[in-house]
Amino acid sequence: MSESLKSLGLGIVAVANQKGGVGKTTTVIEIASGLARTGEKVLVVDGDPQGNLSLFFGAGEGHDFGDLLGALLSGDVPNIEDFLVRRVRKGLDLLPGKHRLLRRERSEEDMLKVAPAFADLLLGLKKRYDWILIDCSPSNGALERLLVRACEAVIVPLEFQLFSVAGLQSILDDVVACTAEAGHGIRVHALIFTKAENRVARVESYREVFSAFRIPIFEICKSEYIPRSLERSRTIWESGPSSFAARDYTKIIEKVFLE
Amino acid sequence: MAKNRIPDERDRLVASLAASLPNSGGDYQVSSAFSSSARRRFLGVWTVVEHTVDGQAFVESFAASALHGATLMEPSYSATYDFREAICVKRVLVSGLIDLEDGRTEYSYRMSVAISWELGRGSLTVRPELGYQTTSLGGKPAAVKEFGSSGEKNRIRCRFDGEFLILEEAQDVKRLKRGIE
Repeated sequence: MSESLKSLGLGIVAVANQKGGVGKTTTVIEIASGLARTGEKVLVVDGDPQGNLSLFFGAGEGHDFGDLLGALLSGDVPNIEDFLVRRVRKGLDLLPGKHRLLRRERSEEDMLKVAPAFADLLLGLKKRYDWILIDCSPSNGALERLLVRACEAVIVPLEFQLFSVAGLQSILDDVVACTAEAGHGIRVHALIFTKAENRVARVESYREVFSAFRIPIFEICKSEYIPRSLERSRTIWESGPSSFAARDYTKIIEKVFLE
Repeated sequence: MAKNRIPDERDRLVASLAASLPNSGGDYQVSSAFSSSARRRFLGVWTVVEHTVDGQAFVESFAASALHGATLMEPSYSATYDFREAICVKRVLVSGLIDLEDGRTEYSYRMSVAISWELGRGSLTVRPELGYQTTSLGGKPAAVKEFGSSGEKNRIRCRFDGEFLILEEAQDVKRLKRGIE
């Protein structure tokens, strides 16, 4: 049976898929806040220049992920406290991302140059946090490679559709490349099908196919609770803790992270 | 009309994923929104009506391993699975006659174990939590063993075949029927 990330000692986890709209940010929000509710110390990193994670938790006016990369690029040893938003929820801190034009501001070359320093910085933060969850952006540029290189495990959210599954293949290829660059193992640990429905032929056919794979695969049911709660800046634990979607996230938190 | 290339493309992708996805022993967990109705299908008592190991009747296989090859005469075997919401109680009774140095005697083996179970897609993930097994000779206990949870989980393939529930674990195949026979 599959071992949990905790039992493997893997605490830096990227949530990634090159396809947009598959639920990466939502997955980070619900899992990170769910972990924090169990008493774990969690840091979320908003690595998506769209900044939706920061929008949800409230980033404030301070420095952000883009500024941190800039500081690392200039060779400074940044004080991480200057970049964090503390206690966006109890036990949960945020490294916000607000530079919507980050990709234009920082060249691919710069991103790759700063990748080892960023990875070292996150590794150092493992002493303070039980979990560091990284919300990746939907593309396959140098920014995503920087983020994946810094992680120890990857969780891939998916939808039951071809483009999303194609995104899974791309992230698998990226992980192989990043592992070689990073010089440490990066484990594709679990897949999460979001917006799951029942008795839909297309969904059933994907279930059939993916049931053959021996990697932990979970479903989050399509639920009105999720978009409704996100609109109100509330997590599923705050708006529908007994909903099926909350139960699905609970299962992931227990099986993938804590067990 | 343009040909629908999606199914072909999906098959190609799946073949590629099969080669590149890691094999870490995990399985597919359906959303709790849908698994609760599937779980309900399991609830209740099921009796094993057919049980083979590697194509051989279970009792023969049992005698070969537990009785070190001694012949179990007039063998009788019964097993039930009582599926409840969080736990399943498995009960097994094997009995018969065996020849000992001081003559032919009654033999029986009983096992009762509480198992936590989770329904995957086409599989059950089970973990023994607490149980005991006893062996008796001539009606007197010869050995008693109690066991707790080792934390180890097993995956059992499962499917429904008409009124039967089929459980398959490697070469161990059981056909169960609802109710007590």
